Amino acid sequence: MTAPVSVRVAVVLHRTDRAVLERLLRSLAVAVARARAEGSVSDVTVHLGDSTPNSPPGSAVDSAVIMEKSGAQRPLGTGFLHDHREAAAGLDVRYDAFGENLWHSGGTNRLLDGLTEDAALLLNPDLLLAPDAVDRLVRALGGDRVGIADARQLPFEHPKPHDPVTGDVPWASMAACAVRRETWEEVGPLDAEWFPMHGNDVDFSWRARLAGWRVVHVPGARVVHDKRLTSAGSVAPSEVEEEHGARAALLLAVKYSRPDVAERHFATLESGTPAQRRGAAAVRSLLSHTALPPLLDPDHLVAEFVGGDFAAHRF
Amino acid sequence: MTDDLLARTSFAADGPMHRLLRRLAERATAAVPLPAAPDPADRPFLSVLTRTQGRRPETLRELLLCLAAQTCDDFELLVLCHDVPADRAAALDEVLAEVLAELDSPLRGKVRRVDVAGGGRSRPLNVGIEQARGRYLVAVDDDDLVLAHWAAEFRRLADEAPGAVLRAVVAEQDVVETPDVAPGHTAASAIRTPYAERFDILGHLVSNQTPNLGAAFPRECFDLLGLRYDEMLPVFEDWDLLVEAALLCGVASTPEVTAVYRRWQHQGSSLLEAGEESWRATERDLAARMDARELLLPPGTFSALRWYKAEQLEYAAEHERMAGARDAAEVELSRVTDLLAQTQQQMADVIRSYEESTSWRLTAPVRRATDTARRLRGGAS
Repeated sequence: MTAPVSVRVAVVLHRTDRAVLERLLRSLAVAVARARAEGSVSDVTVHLGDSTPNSPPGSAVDSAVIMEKSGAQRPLGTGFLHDHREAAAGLDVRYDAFGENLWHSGGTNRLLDGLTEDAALLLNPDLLLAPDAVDRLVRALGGDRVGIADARQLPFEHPKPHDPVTGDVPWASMAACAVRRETWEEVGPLDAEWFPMHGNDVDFSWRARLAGWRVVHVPGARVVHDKRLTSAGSVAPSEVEEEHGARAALLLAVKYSRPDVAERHFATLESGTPAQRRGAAAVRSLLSHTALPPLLDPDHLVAEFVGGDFAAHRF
Repeated sequence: MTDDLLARTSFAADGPMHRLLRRLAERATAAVPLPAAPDPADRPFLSVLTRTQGRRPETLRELLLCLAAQTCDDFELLVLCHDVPADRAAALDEVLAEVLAELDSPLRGKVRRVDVAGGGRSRPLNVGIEQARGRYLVAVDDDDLVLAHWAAEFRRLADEAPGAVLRAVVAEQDVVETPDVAPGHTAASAIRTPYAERFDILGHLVSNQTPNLGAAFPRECFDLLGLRYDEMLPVFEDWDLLVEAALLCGVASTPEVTAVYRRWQHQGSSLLEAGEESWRATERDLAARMDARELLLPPGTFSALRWYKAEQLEYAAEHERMAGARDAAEVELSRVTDLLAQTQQQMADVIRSYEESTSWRLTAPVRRATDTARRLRGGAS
């Protein structure tokens, strides 16, 4: 991949507050300008896809109306894009209301359909990017066989291990990462049926590694991810996240040829919280109604199951 | 008003009420007023005081990113550059320039750099206090991290309890330096929440449960009451200020975790720099200082202290009962031991007198013959 590269940014919205989206776009505009100045990036288009059910239909950013968490509807065009013309001028922003909840995987697939740019940048809306984040992520894709570059999240650094010299990491978080077009074309799209929300990043990373691509963590590419902590110090999942987390744990074990792990997880999750039991029931139902696809990684080359995690965490 | 109260309470000039009023009056008289605002409504809600020695420009960069991501942007930031040597100044300037000029965020136009020369750890904070314009002030070090709702939670508490010290929960995480890998440090432990969920003044008399970045002080603490960080203290200056302010202003507290205090595993932690003995000595000094003051304790303290005292009395009574039982048991053990010794002596005497008797000696051949016959019959047993 030769610099400067063109980039398509994909952001899936779901009941996203306009202020949250503005925070992302402001920092993205700065980071894109920096990357252009550094010579790593050329054209950048930002594709916002709204997965909020019943959100007002529309495909023009100036007339777009987004539905916030509270249910309030706010015109997007009179927000950041209107008030920060100068910053926004560096961004070609497009908006598409899906009219239904495609979840993260389906929404991302829709936004990256027909990817012609050299790279894709996948971002959650609840991020703020460091000014050098885009430059560092895109440059990392220039490494030998690097297919996915994973950003460092703040204030909670992910505990998955990475090689301090090469950056190689077991998987990349789809909350903030860059993907080479060739990797996307060869490995994509995301598995929206089995992993609509959680686990899509682990699955995509493992498939990329099985195809010979490297996944690297870029600790200098920092993003603030607006998460909250429980009183015990863990990131607080919503009920939906907990349900999808359970579902992902089970289906990753099935898909990556570890029925023993799946059985252990079933035993744990089916006696777990209501959300975990719902996730396990959904998987039982899916497996009983769906023919299994070819199972991957029979020799256990990339897939790791360590407790409930998908790598031996650093802490 | 204060003079009037002092005069009225002079009938008991050595009483706690008069002493407390006198101390507050002396503090208020000596207080250096903070900068005035043309219109108090123009004040930002919060002044964030960040001291840095320029040692860790990359952690400062991360703090600034976290501040730029705040959901409440009604704050100003004073970066207090404390004795930053020339060789560190360039990296620090680069970080600040990036934030001030490049990061298009609510921080733009709200960051001031203040150079501070000399003094100890607390000097830059006191300099910052005297330049702060906010209605509340909070200190955050250059290696701390804050969650995106950190300022918003303080704002919510201030709306609920105007004028109180605002307190949220701080988590902590170990961090290590990685000199060869950008950005030069990485997390080294899971996040812990070792501090109390709710502010409890009695708990804070035992140990500090609120790192700096978990407490925002109303500016009146400094403006009217004349409080400052004690520059003579090598450590615990935040604990000292918090307890004093909490006793005078009260505390509004939330169990929400809003910040992460990073504990360096190898070097650079204030614990290691100060040395454990220094910490203990300062702790004793603080206790002595508190003992010399009258304390205004909040409602509920009577019952809490009563409960603690009742527990302590019950424990003491139980301890006394246990000690009595132990003494009685020791007496009984001694008596039984003596009795056993006497009995053993008596048995030994009986055996010896029997073995020395004429009948025992005369029957010895019979016993030997019996033993021989037994061996021949059945072998040795």
